[in-house]
Amino acid sequence: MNAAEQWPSDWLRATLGLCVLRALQPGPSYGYAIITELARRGFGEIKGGTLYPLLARYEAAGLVETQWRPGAAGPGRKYFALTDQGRSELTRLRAEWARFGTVLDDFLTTTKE
Amino acid sequence: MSATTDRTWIDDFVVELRLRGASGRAIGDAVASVREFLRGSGQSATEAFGSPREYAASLDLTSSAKPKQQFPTVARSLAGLIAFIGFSMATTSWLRGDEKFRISAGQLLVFAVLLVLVLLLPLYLNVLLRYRWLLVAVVIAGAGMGAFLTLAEPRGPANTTHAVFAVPPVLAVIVTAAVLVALSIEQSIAALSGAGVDPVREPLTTAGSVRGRRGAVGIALGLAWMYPAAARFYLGAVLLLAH
Repeated sequence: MNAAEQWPSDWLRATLGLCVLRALQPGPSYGYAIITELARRGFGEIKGGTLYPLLARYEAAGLVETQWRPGAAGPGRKYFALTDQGRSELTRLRAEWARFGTVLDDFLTTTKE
Repeated sequence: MSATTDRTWIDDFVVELRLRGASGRAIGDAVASVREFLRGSGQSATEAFGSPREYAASLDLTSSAKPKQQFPTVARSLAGLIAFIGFSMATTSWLRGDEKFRISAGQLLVFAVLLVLVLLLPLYLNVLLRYRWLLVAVVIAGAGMGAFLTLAEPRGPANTTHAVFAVPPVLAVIVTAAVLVALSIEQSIAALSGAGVDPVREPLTTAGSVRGRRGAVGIALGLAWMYPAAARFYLGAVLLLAH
């Protein structure tokens, strides 16, 4: 199975925002590096046309801030970094998702009717 | 996918963002992000971002400031075109030694059609800019109307009765020339004051952005004086042929 087709697109759409915030937790990163990291973690290939609009919405909402940094030998890169508000949102969503995951697991694996 | 295809994609993307009222700085940022991503991924623009139109819509970069008004700019250009057509017709009539410069009912109708097309421009301007072949078709239709205006010009005493409008040719030349110059002066003042000039500014290119702004003002000035220059050229050519 192709990595890009590994998961139903609905699942990825629902969780991509949380995953992008998580990918930025270690420090600032740029578009292609975020996509590479998510692919390495088994999420499949996310398109640039999906990632950048999401990041633009997060920037407008104050969850991330951006900075253009000059490249070593060529044009620069746009780095995205979590703001304090973005870090709080990641903490909140992670806790919510853990609760949701438990509810879902319980329901899917329970043998009781 | 070739670099040329990506360049075309980026050109279309810039047009789409302009149509959505994004600022020059926001467009520059979005274009630089696309270039950066394509360089890293090795993908084509279409592969990575889909169609320019859909991607531009998904970014939601519509400026919170008043969006750039394209209608007055284009309307002024078309008003200049109409004045230029009038000038060339009046000049021809004047050099031919006509007693009166006459406008027939047919010519008046074509002028009215042109005017309606200008007034309805906000309804189809975006479509024209998106589909360039349609823009070419409109220019060809406009040229056809111009040719009709010249051919349908009433000449000689026999056609005098068909004229619905008749003034001394010199007066028509002076009025149309004055309109052309007035429109150009107004556009020049707007260009020099920076109104309506918002060049695409990519990040990390301060020197480039200054050059881009100067270039944009230069182009705006050139366009502002395009019709008076064409009118002068036309007058010179007609005088040369007459002698």
